[in-house]
Amino acid sequence: MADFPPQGSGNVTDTGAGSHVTLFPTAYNTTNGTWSISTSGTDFFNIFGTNTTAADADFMTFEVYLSAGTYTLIFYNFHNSNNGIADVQIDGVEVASFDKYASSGSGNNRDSQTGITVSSSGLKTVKLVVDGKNASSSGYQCPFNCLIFWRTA
Amino acid sequence: MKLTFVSNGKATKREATVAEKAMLKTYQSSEILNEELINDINNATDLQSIKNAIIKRFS
Repeated sequence: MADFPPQGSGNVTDTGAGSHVTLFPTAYNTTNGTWSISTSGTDFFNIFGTNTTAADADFMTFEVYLSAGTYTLIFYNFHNSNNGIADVQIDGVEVASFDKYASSGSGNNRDSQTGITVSSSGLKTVKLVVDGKNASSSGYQCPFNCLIFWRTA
Repeated sequence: MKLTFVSNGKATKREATVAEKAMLKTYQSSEILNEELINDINNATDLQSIKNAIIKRFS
């Protein structure tokens, strides 16, 4: 049987291309605004978080180890007529922006951003933050299921 | 039905406000939908109303 790295020991090894890091709302570190975390009977993973304060600049941060490399970010989320624009930052640098506005609501949307470069391996602060809204949107809600960092190179 | 809310990085379990319930119902929170089912059954006056409540919850 192959040996696996001990979990929770703080020993982190370099992750190769093809590896994934999935961040659920439950993995938050810090927040701005109030976020609910609850189950959903109709969505992938049966979990979602959303900012019930529904204000611009609401955010959740996550602490995660990312190896140096190139990533595709996959963002499973809802779209709706009252949703804002969700930015994703790594250590304060914006790497993706998703306009979640849609004229009618839908779940299980798989939005993605390719070509995200992480220049050095280490513990990163990933921030999901509401940054304005589409002119047609009526609000700043940011319901989502998870963020997935998929290392492609 | 208490839900988890996170504010200033601190998680607490509490009842959702009316506004929060309305917001979360949009996104099909099972807890909210289950609570609605319980309320509908409690308010039902006949078996047909109970049947309709169950069909609404799971359709």
